[in-house]
Amino acid sequence: MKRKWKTAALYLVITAAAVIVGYPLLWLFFSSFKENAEIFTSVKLFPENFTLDGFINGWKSTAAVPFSTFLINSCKLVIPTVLLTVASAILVAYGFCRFEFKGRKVLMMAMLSTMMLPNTVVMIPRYILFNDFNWLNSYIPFYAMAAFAVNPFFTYLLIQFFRGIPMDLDEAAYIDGAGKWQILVKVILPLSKAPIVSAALFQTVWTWNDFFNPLLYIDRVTKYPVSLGLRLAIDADSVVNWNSIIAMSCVSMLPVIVLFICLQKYFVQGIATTGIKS
Amino acid sequence: MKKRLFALLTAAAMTASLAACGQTAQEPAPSSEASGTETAGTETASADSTETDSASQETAGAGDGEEIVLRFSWWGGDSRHEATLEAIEVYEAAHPGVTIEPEYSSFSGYYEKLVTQLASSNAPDIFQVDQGWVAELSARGDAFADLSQYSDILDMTQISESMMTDYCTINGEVQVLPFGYNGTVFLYNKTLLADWCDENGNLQMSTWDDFIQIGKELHEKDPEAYMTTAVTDGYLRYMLKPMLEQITNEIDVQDDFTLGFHEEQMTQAFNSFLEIFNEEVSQPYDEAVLYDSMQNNPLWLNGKIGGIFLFFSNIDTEIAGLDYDFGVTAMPMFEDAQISGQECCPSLMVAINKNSDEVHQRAAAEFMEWFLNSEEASLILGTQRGVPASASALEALESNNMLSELMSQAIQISNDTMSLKNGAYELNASVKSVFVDYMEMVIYGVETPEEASANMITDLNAILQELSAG
Amino acid sequence: MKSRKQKYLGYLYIAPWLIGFFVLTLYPFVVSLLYSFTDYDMFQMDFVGLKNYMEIFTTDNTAMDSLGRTLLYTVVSVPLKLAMALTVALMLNKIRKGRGVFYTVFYLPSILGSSVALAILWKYVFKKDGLVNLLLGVIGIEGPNWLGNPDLALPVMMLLPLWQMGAPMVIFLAALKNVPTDLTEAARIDGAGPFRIFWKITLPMISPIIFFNAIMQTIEIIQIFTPAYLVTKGGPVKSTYLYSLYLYDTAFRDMKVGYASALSWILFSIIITFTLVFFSLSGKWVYYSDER
Repeated sequence: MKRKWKTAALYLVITAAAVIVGYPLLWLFFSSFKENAEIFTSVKLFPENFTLDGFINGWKSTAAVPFSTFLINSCKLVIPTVLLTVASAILVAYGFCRFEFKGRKVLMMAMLSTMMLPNTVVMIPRYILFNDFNWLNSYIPFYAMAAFAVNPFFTYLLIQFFRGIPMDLDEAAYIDGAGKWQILVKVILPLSKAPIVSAALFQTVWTWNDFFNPLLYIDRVTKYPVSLGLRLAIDADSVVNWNSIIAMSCVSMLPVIVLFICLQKYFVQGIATTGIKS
Repeated sequence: MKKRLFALLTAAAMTASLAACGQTAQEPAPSSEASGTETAGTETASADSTETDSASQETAGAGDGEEIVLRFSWWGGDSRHEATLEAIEVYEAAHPGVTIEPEYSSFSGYYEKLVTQLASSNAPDIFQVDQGWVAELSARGDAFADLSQYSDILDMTQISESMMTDYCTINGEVQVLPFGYNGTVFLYNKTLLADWCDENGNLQMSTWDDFIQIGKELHEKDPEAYMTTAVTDGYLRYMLKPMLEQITNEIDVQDDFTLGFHEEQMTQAFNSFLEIFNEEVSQPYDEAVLYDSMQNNPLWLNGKIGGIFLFFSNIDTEIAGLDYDFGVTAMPMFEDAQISGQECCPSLMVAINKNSDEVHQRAAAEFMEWFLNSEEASLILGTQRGVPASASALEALESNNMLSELMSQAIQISNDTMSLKNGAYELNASVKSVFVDYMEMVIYGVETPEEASANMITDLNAILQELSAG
Repeated sequence: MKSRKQKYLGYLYIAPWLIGFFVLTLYPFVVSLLYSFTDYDMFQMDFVGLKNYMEIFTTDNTAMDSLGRTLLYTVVSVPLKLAMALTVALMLNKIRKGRGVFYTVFYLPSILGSSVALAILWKYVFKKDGLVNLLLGVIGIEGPNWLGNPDLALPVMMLLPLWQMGAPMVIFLAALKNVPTDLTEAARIDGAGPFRIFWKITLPMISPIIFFNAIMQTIEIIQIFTPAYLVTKGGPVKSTYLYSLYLYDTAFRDMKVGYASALSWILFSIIITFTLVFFSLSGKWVYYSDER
């Protein structure tokens, strides 16, 4: 019975925390049904006059480019980027933690160190580089950076998880005649679903929301992803329909939320399965 | 089944990546257009500037039947994008063979991108610039083509001579042209300020003393209400700086990189400016500072602000959706002031890229002639880039009744008020940020007006020295 | 194991990164390092030796102030964010019903990212008549104007990473999933209390991930840019003017790219020092299963 009380207390705490974390977002969601002025003048959650204008106008979007184009562009940008990121991170992480080779530690530190220089000063030379490659105005810069594991976050994440897998398992597979590739596919990957799915999720969210890189690399509005499309209407000298901007922010979050819900099971502890395992 | 899906996904991803690595690593990309990868070296400085397949660069030589693509970049909001795109469409229909590639965005990031593009010789053929950027981009970047070469197709006499000399001509070259021009007026809420208006509904206010007096009375009457508010930038450009110029009669940052004021004058301006807050004439600064525009400021939306200083071309924007009666009047002045110090300048400017070849520059000039001066274009564009600076465009708007009554009044009021031009470096971002920093320190009481004046002058001189050297 | 062949195999596996490093990363890095010894302004450059670095350390108060502010921000935010993420992950790991819903709610702020809506939202919560003060009003406290007050703005901005702690939370959850239940089960049967199990089993098992999150969050937060840029623009009176903001202004507002590069390399040195210290201390508390 003590246990029951404990569970109840736990739920109470979690619920309280969830309300604190979630309420502002709920407000944001309902703001998209408000009229423009009400968003900034009232603290209330529910709109005084419920209107769908925000969604309707926002979806039609600005000037010649419907919002759906931005969504499609975002998908074209994000999906290959995420797949390439995951693939390259798996290979590189495996290389770093299951092989002994000269300069391994130095290279790993070099890899980590590439995260430590502020983007502001890397941006200009990188732009010049991509311009020379003729990669501007396409999504190739993003694909290339993903395929070549330029962001070490994902690689390092997988390294840490792979290192948590006991070597005994590798060796057992080796004795059974598995090569290095088979060990990766048959031993390491099945045990690393959670971190791999997490990496995919983070890259999705970050690429989806990335504003500055697309801004720099993409000139044509018809190729803009959502993050840029959302800001097209924001201007200090014009009438800004904030309800459409908020409405479209919510719409643009939707695919990512759906993805998150679909992927959840991979990183939630499955009580039943572990029961079987032991 | 789910397991299989997962395995499939990872497998697909890995093959994709392996294929990608394989391709670039082994073969020097015979089919792909990626032209630099094979070097794999770090110094792909690319002597061969293979810029030919970027659509814009496709000149395909001169000669007739040529296809020309012009890149045109600007920033703005929805309505400006819409109007501009419509204009482009009309122009393209009338000029087969010319395609205008629109590159538009919001203001945030525009400047950073433009500078990066200029630095790597990849800027659009035609681009919108802010007046505050012109001097520096011209001096450092050598970014602007001399438009006077194209005076045969681009009529620059439609723009007032003073504007041409003050803002467009640098070292004898016409480097930029204004889309529109602006002056500062006080837009007031007649409903809220009824007690201080005469029988015709005109606000009885001409000096700063009047302004403060009305503000005090208003706030006493309605503790929620304030005479005025502004965004950070607005406090500087519409209040502090006009006060300073009214005191000095000089442009505050002169074109020879000196300051048009000395310490005591700045202190005096700070003191007058502080009164606005001390007497509760303005919404407290720490509340006003949270809003990026009047459209987010609840007091303004709720009709609790007496009025705001603004550029006349923004009037229609700021009162959109508000159910109050509005009027306009001139900037208040000190009793003995000779000039108003109101900012009166080109609103947005346009330039042609110096790095574009002559064919593109000429086509761009042709487009600009139509865009800036023609009746057809002005009727589409309206006041989306401010009240047109071109006389012919303005006339087109006036004769078609496209200026709201308030805006016409405001233009008249502003034109009737004596003012000074903006110094070339006055709105330079670095210079302005020094003004803003010290203004905030004075408002928050971190520094006294005396300390702030002295320190600000030191900082400004340091920056101006750097700018003059660059 | 056949070591010779394996050696090259190792390089083959890390080849994607090696190529990326040499083709896409090294060039910008080297260039920016070179810039830091010049007065490059996007268009012209002259070699100035160590002048930029000297100036930063001797006369540039803004740099030192913003650096101090940033370090404070990092030292406060990182441990809080990690603690918050771990606590939530542990709690979520304990419950079964409605887990998906809670999960989504805690991750949502991270999906919002640094979108434009974030600025609106944060101001709505912390303005004078905003949400927080509304709640304080219920218990009779008149709340301050959080973001307009130079003493409070920075602490408020420190809360933002806590709110957006989705990424480390998910990583912690993934790590907790890998803690073998037979170990904890056995300990429980032996009569160990939940706290003891956490301390003796769970914590060591997830220590590589705690280490990972600590390093990544430090690297990320010390360079944090968007919140201050979007919400307060560094104000009021520079109270939230973080180093990355200063760096950005120097590069793009003042067009002093050479100087900004020097600022960047100073930050780089600080971060790498932090990281090396982290690594050298990690032997004491980080436990890897693949080590024998």
